[in-house]
Amino acid sequence: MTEQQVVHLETQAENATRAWARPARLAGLVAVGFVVAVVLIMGDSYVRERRLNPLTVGEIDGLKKEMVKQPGDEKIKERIRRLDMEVRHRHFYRRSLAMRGGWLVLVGAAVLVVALKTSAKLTAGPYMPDPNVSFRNTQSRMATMARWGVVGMGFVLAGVLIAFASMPRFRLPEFGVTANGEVGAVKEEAVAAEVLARNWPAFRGPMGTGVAAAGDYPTDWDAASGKNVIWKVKVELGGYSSPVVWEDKVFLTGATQEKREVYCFDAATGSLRWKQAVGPAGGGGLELGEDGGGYAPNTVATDGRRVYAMFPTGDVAAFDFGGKKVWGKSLGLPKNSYGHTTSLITWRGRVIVQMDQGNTAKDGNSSVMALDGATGNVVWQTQREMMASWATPIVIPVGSVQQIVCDGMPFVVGYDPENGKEIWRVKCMEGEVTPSPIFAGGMVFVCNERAELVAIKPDGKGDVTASHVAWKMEENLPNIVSPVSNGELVWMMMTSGMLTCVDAKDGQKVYEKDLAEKDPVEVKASPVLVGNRIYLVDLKGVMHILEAGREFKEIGKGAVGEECQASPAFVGGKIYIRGAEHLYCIGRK
Amino acid sequence: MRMLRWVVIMVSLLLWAGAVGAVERFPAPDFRSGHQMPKTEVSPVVWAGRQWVDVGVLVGALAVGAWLVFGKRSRRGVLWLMVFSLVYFGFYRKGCICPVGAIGNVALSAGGNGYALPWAVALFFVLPLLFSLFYGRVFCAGVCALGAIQDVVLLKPIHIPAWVEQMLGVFAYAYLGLAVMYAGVGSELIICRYDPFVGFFRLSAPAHMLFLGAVFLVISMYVGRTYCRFVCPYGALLRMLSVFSKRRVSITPKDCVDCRLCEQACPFGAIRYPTQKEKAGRKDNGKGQLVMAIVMLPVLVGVFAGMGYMSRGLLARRDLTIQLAERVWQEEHGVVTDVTDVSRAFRGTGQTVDQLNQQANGIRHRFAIGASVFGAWVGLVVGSKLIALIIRRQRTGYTADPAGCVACARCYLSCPVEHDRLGQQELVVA
Amino acid sequence: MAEQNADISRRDLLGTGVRGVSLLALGGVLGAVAATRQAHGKMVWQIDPYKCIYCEVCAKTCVLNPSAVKCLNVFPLCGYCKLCTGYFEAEANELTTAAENQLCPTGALKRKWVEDEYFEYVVEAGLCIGCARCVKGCTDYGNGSLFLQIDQQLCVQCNQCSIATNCPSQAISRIPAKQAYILKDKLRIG
Repeated sequence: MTEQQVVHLETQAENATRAWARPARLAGLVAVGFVVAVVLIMGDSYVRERRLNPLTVGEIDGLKKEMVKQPGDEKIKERIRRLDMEVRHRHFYRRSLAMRGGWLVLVGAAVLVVALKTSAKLTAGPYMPDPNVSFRNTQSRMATMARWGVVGMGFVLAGVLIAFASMPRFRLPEFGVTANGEVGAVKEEAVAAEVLARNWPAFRGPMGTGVAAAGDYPTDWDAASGKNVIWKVKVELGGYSSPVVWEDKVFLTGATQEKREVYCFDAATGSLRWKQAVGPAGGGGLELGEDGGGYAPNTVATDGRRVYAMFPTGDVAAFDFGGKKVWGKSLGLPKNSYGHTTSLITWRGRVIVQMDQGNTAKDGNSSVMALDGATGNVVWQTQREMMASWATPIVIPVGSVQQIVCDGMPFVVGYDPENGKEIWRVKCMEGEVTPSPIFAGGMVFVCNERAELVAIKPDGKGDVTASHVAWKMEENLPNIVSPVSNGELVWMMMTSGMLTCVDAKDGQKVYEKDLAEKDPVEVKASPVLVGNRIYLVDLKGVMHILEAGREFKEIGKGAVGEECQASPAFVGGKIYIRGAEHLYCIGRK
Repeated sequence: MRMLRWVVIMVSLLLWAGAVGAVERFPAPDFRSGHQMPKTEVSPVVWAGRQWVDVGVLVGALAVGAWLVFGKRSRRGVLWLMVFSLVYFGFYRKGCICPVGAIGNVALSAGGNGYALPWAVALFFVLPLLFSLFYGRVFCAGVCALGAIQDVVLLKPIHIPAWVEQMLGVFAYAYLGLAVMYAGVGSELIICRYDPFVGFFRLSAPAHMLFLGAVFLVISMYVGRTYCRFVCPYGALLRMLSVFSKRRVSITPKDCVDCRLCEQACPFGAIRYPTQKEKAGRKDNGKGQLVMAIVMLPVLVGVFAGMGYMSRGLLARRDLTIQLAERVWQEEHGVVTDVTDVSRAFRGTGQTVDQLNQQANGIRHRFAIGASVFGAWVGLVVGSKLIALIIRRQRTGYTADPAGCVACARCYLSCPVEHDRLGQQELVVA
Repeated sequence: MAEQNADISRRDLLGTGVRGVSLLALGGVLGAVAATRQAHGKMVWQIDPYKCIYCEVCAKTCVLNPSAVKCLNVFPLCGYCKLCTGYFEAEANELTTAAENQLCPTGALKRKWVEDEYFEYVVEAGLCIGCARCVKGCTDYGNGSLFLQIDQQLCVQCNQCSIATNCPSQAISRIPAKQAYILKDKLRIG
């Protein structure tokens, strides 16, 4: 082989390798196209999946809600089924697409890398010296610049740290460390008393005693003519539960045997802000007779953070003020022939549930418990040897501490709200205990038909039946309506319309007045004491406004023209009355 | 004695069960038809011995890498090792476990967070460092899947100026410090959380992760191994140790002939040029600077430590317990009226707010220390880097900077002496 | 020339010194591991079902799609209810398997009649996406026999588990692989 031949062969070989560069580049281009196409398809699928996946099908949720309203509508069901099928089909299709697509992209990318690298290698020039180096000054100049670079980076990092340091450290003050090195406790402040007083947070108001802060409340209104009626709104589901008011919101419950709902109305306009269902559909076997308390007798309670609702099915739920369900749980179906009617109350972020059930006192079914308002978890639970009862407990101040007072059959008991420990008990109740206890002038008053009106001093310990009962009185005892007192006088109301005023000091009757003297009057809602007036709504929806004095005196009347069994709420000059069908806001116009 | 203990346990269990009401709401039925309840099926755990296989593969790959770089001097071999590691540690083992992420585990365990470091993870952390003391960054060269995925996509390397390289290089050290701090206080493992490539290995990741990874890969087509050079915290550790490595990558197999052909062979800017003889006057100047930099070092460390301490609050706010404590505080004080899943879950634990605050305060205390140390570290890095840049070393011939060199063996083929060697080798073979 | 040699040997000495120190430090890391090791081997991520608050985080934040978290049913705890609050919508139209009545968005919970009023509920893991809707229904209103667990065959054991980072109740932690599942054996209320 001559030298010429060798050179010729070498160039030939070189050309041959170079010739491979083009196809390699071409292969690379194809691979790019392939990868981009697959990535685009996957990206599209990803975006679609993000928008619509089995977890985010608002349309199905909406249709399901509609279906609840129109249970018989087969079209809605058909649409749900179709939509559900489609969404699931797409979801699983996309999932398999993502899996296969991933591998395809990987293979495509591998081809791409190999192709491009091959092409680059084949067309690469020889190794060359750095064209930018002029040897004289590069070294020291580069070193100087590098130093400045590092200094600059140092400044950047310092700047970041300073920016961090100057940003608000905590959204909140740092938890204080006290002098002895212990963490200053962030107190679980209960909502201040004056805030409570501004609102109507539970059945019978801030204290649960039917006493409202004095205010400018009208003494006459008429739903027929619209006089002093600020607004009126239809409530979807009926119930005997009372309205509860917190700032600009009015809460109410309604139920049928099938479903239970909590409503939030705008206090200014009456428009429905939200409604939420509680518990699963179906009554869980609850069936109530005609004389029962209905399917929504329990008034909601709020602690200013959340609103808590309970129903005779034993379902309890908490909602935040936006209507979002915070928790929901079932306490089990209460054994109660009229239905469980006891309303919820709150104490320092806890929900107090008195659950007296069963026909015997010692069956171990009855208890009182505190649920954590934020989670619904049981904080404490105390067994009660009681038969079923229907009264709502109250929280009272005794000296510097507080007590929960629960009326029941046959005991009235004071509990420590911290841990549910029993403090005192008085055996004085008979029959089906329904009127709720009240507290006025340092005294607890309980009453019930077949029992007595009893005044109890709540500062005892143990069984104080013999020592702490101040007096008893046994005339005109109510079977449903709770009493009300200003500390000087106590008023009791029989369902038949007989009003009795008793002296709180000694239990002597001051006067009695039959409201049903002329026309038949029946009363089931409990009265409210506002300043020196008593507001008492009868079954026909007529509010009797009486003077809270030692003599009977009727000041005015207002009518809503429909049946009323719920106790009204009094907040800021406005009275919220629940009728059989509507919720009214009464106030001076 | 044992009997007694059992009795005690049983009784307390019973009491406990009674106390929390451990009752089923709906008792399980007795099937009249004799229906057998199925057993709840769970998938078995992945074979525990696999981690030891991984350790074995790691050791093998490191040894092969060292041999390929120093013994065989084969770029092709390193490339295939890289492909193997990409497939095995990357796509097959899905990027876990890896030494880069192991930094977090080591710091977590060292911070005393009640986390026992598994042996395999400890070995994954230690072995590449150990190798770097003798063979430089062979781990980066062919064993690291994160490095491999960037290396294989390198297409048209851009040579970035040395000063930019030095400047951005500081970031990796800062990131290392940050990662160690967050893991050390027991808060989170940020290296793993923000690993840009693991999503590719798993073929499944949240969009932002894939996006970040894609950005790094695209940049790495031009700026070789972007993550390795400017971000990788393990790379930072390897850099520090490689400086003292027993053997160093040598571009030329024998003596440098100063042909300048390798000047552009390194896509990672790790080739150092021979130095010129300096004039006498300039050397003094350098000494003055050096003295100043050394004096400044403690000041820098102190100042940065102070700044770190001051930023402790914001750094701590990433911590979940701190966030929870703040949230609960807001709820307790009526700043917000709703509850979040997190605060609701906290209340479900039965822990008191006081306990939570105690805990949060403890974490804040740890962050105060951690942030100061982190700040000091950043100051130390900046100061040391300055000192290193002031010190001038005399270099004859072209050498690979032991810190920056990832031992990829690309430069070998640029050296005519190497070609000579290979020719001879071929002759020998022939 | 002599000076340069001295320089080089000084550097070698420094290198050897630092290498020695580094070796000691690395050995120290291993030593510390040996010293602090407790009696457990491999650890895996798992959910404590008693801490779980059945939000949807497991379905949404796992690095895998679908999530490695799946629902399980422990049958001895199950009430075999006809009205399963884990299976049916809160306001189910009828107690049938029609789509509009089902809670599960992917139809992964299967309902099978056994006898009388009793029905068996079985989770099909391939369809389950770990959204915990059934778990919520079952735990709030039923026996709580449905609960979430991380499928150890699917989980890639990320060093920083993405779900654990997002879990509001810190219910996910590393547990020994020897006992890799926490199966429920009773309902805990409160």
